[in-house]
Amino acid sequence: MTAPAKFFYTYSPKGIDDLAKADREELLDQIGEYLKFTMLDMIGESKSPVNGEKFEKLSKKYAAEVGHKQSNLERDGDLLDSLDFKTSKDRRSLDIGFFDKLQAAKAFGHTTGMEGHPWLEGITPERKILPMGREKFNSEIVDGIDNIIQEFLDANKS
Amino acid sequence: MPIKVKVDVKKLKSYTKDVEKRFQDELQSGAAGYELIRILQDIIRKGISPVDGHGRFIKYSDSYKEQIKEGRHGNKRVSPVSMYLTGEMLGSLRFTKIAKKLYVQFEDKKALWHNEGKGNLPVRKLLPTGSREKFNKRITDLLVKALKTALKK
Repeated sequence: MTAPAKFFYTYSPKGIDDLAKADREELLDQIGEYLKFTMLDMIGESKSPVNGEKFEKLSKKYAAEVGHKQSNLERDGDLLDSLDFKTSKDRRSLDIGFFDKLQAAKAFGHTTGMEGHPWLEGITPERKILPMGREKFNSEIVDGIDNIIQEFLDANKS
Repeated sequence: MPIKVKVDVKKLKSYTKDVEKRFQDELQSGAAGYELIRILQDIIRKGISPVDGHGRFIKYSDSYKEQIKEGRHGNKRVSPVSMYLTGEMLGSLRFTKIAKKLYVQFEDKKALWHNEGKGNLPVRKLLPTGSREKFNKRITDLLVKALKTALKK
């Protein structure tokens, strides 16, 4: 599989259809900020935001180069700095991920274990950054988002 | 000058109705304050601003990155921007309880310089100080999670 020019996950919250467009926008911004923050926090702990599992440790050679064993996807910081989210025009969903071509390729590579890469496939371990296909974010993240939505809906009732 | 913010305990309680009373006990005993400080230090050392909407801290300047690479700042790394050099600033994070509210502040004045971007420093928000600023909700979630774990013990 070739690395995409943009690598993102689309999240469409349920139960927000009755909200006005401006309210949906506000809610999606809250969700996006929470998602981005939580992804960065988990990755910083060397933990996948998708399956919640610890990332495989760095190879001895690479660990010696960067000065630590745990994989937190930090080298120069460009990959994680580029994590961002965008809300759809109709404000019913948001895309979170990597919208810069180079960073998208890197993120895709980590998530798939460098699938399709001429020499890194099968060598670099899979470190799931974003859900793909039918995957979802892990339950901790999903619960956090559910709370945000519920709180927002409750506040809009009163 | 210390930076003070308040944590809305009523809001925290709304997430933990099942442990409301014991949460108050934890708060009274100071456990919540210590947990909040630990969480904030941990988040900041990962290069993330705890203030909602601020994301990752702005990168170090090129000249500072060169100094890091030359080893002039010990084991410090180019990324993440951990706000950690001697530990003096992050170690100066304190909390106080007044009535049913928690207040957190940095005693080290360097925190204010970073928070407001004094001199040549870029703004790196360490605490929500503006009227419209708040912690990211993840901070609340982590605090509640930590307290729930403590309550189970």
